[in-house]
Amino acid sequence: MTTKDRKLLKGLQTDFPLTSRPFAALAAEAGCTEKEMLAYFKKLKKDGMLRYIAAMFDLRKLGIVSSLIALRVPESKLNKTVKIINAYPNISHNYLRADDYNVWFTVSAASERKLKAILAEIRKKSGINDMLDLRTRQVFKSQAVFELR
Amino acid sequence: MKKDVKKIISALSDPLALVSKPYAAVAGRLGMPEARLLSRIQAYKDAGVIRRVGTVLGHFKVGYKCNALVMWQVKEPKLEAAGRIFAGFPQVTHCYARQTYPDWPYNLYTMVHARDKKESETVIKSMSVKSGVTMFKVQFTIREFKKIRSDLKEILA
Repeated sequence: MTTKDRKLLKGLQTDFPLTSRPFAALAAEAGCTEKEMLAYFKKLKKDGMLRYIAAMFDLRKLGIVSSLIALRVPESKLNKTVKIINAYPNISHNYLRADDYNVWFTVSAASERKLKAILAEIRKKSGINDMLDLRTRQVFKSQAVFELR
Repeated sequence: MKKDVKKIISALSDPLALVSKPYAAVAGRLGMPEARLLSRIQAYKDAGVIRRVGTVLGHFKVGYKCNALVMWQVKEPKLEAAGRIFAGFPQVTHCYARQTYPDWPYNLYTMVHARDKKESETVIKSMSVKSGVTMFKVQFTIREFKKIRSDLKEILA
C-alpha cells in the first residue's frame, strides 16, 4: 500500500460523506476529480483492500439480539457441524480456535425466541450439546478502525 | 418495527455501489426521492440506529494477519472501567461484556488485531497492565470458517 493509499483510507475509516455525490466530496478534499476518486475506490475493491462501503447499524437499537456461542466439537464431527452452522444467514462469523471449546460463532436474530430456536436446531442437527451461550451484556466497542502506518 | 422502516434498513444493509450517486441508487430501489433517503439516514444516525456510514477494509490484506480473541475475568465493579480502557486501544476492534457461567468466569471479550503473534502479545500485555486485569485467556484464530456482514434482510425477515 502506498502512502497516498493509507492517507486516503485512513480518512475514510470514520465516515463516508452523507451527500448526493460522496465521491465528489472526497475528491474535493483530496484534490482530485470525482472520476479519479471512483476509479481509486474500484481499484481498492479489486485489490481486496476495501471490502465494502455501507451503513453500520447498532443491532441492539433495532431490537436484534446477539450472542457469541462456543461449541465443544470432536474432530470427527467438525466438518459436518461447521457446515450446519455456516448455513444460517444469522451467523456472521465462525472460527476454529485452540481451546476445549473449539468452534466459536456469532449469531443475531430478530427476537429472543428466534435466537433460542436457531441454537436448539444447531444442537439437534449436529448432535453437539456442549454449548456456551455467551450473551451480550454491554458493547464497549464495535468498530473496524485500524491504525494505518 | 414499522414496515417502511424495515424496508429502508434492509435496503441500507446492502453495501453502497461504487457509482457517482450511490444513495440515489438505493433510493431508486426503494421508490423514494434521494433527498428523503439522505434525511432518513441522518435521522437514524442521530438516533444511534446507524452508527456510521463507512468503509470496511479487508484486514488480512492490509497487514493485520493475526487476530486473537482475548477473554478477561474482571471483578464486576471494575468491568465498566476495564471495558472503556480496552476500547481505547486502536488494535481492539470489538469489546463486549458477556454472560458468565459457574464453569466459565470470563465476562469481558476483546478482539485484538495485529500484524503477528509477537505484536498481539505486546498489545495484550499492555491491556492487562493498563487495566489491572490479570486473569485472562488468549485464543488465536486457527481457521476462519465464515466471515460475512450481518445480513439484516435475512435477520429481520
